[in-house]
Amino acid sequence: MAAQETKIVADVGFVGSGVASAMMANQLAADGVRVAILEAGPKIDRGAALERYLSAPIKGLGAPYVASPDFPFPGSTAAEPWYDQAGPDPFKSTYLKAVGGTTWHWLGTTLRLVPDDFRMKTTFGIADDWPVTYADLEPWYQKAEEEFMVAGDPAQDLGSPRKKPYPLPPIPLSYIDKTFAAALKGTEFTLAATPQARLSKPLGNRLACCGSGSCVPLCPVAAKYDATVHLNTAVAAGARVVDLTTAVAVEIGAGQRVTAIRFKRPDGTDGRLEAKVFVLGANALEIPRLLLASRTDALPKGAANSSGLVGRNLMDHPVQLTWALARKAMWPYRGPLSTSGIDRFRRQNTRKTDAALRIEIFNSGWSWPTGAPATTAGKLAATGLRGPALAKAFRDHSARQVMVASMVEQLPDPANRVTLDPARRDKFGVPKPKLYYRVDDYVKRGQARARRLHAGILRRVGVTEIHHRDDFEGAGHIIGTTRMGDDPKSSVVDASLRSHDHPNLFLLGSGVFPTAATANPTLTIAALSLRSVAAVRETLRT
Amino acid sequence: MSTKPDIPDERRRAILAGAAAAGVSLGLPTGPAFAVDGFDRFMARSEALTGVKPLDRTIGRSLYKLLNANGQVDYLTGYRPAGRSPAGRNEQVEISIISAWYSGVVSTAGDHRLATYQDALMWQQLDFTTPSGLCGGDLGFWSNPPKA
Repeated sequence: MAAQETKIVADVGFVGSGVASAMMANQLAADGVRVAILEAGPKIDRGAALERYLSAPIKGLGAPYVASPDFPFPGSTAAEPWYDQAGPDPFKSTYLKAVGGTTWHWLGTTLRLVPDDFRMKTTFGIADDWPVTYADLEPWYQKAEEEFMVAGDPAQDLGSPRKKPYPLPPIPLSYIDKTFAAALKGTEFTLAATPQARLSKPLGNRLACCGSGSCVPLCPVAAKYDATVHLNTAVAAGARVVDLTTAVAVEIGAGQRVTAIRFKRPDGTDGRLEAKVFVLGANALEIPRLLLASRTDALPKGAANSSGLVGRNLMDHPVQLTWALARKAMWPYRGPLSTSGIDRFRRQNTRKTDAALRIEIFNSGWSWPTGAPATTAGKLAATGLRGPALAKAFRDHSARQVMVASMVEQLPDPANRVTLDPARRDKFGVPKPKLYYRVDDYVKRGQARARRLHAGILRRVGVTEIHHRDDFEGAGHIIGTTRMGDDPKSSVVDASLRSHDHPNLFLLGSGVFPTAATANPTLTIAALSLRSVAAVRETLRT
Repeated sequence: MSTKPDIPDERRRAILAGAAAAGVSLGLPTGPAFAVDGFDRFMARSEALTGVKPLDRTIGRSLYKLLNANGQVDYLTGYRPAGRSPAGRNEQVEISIISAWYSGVVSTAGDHRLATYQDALMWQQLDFTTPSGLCGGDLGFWSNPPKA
């Protein structure tokens, strides 16, 4: 029985089956490379996930998904928080353990970084440069967009120069977007269609977007890309995905080479994944956790951690939410959750002092900040409305709810980190994550600026009330804990994502980003994975 | 806590009707609060509060059961009993009933129970869209105002 295997052998062994691994594994499997992917979580049946979502009283991020101490993740254990929040601010972003990873509940936005994002130190004198430039990554962005079948409008300048069009025509703007764009015409707020991994035409057995309004946490028709797309093609080419199997340690042997990944299963069995090359693609909290948990007498700081930087420089895109009541009906709660944004504040020359930010226009009414529409009637009733007046107000109010949000750039700070909490262990005996996180004044000024910009936008659109969230929200973007760089003393992996310490170990995902920029990270994650395929192939030959 | 005996509504209605006809006492509380069946009273009050009529009786039964489980039965069946309601409680009960119908969920102190989702009043009233999670239409329908 496959689930009881104690030894799995492959050419390339992956940990984690999210988009970072799936993109690379698909390329390798297509070349006949033997690929095995360990995944802590279970396979997800989309129909069952939809049923769980529809029957859940609270439609949170985890509503469609199975939660269990057998594969713990943030929010999956009601009795005890997964994170030990030891810092002054809580780290609010989470992830999922499932075959396909957190792409099950991502929004689907596929922005490229802008060129300055790679040169923060050189251009603005703050933070760090990346060991790759925008020009280095441009062909890989294109390749990633083609893999994702990104829908986008090539006529719009998002600040990231492109040489070829998007694979699919853009997802149509919402009525809200069009109303905002008309109101903002001639101002500094230029609204553009968001490039997104969401089908604007049917593809295979995936439907074009049908506007279910539930992209986060679940697309019912797979119009929104998730990593099962590439896992399925990889499996068809011979790759293996072994679910419900948790990596617990990286074994290091002679020549600092990784010899195996040790794993355990909920049923008590355990074993080893043996391969020539090992790739960790398990997100920017679980990868450092695994590396740190792999410490031995020979490697007291853990695997891949001669720099001492594994787990450090944890970042997110702290989000400023602003919601308002428009003067006229805007018809929210229709279509993808967001279809447009304002990109100019991502690439200003004042980034030394002003955090870059990206403004998103949402189609989802007040659902994020208030839980609307489920909470709206109760709030209106609390103002004294009853009967037909309440019903009329409910409809009128709901139809006028709008929201904008800004993702604000957070700079790397070595003090912000994930470490191990030896006092709390999961069922496999691995210490749970302990987080220290602080949002500094750079971010706080950015949040304040976002509130001013949001108010300026909303006043032009025409609103009767404006509400700002007084604290940041998590963007779901876990960044920076295994940073890349040319110098082994100040980084964990090199520009090909290879560990400076272990020649046959690669670390994928947004953990390798030296800085956070303001793009949703997934497209860059995918581009970096695709770019590193060549280095993995080369390592297989040595 | 409820003082209502654990008797199904239909059964209790029959008992009360029979008791009234026979002119006998069953030892149940008397007075306006229990002169009419609790569920019917709940439905009538729900229609008056939500502004939607008629409301679905099957969903009503689920909500009624969940609300009663929250210990609010005195306020649902014996709505606005003179002199016995602490200030503000009636309003809270009204808001609870309205929230339950519109959201399809009964919430108490962190405990959330779903009676219905797709048929919750919020989606019935937001006739310009479909329940989140279900397809709303063809690509791009969201670009234009909803058809009248």
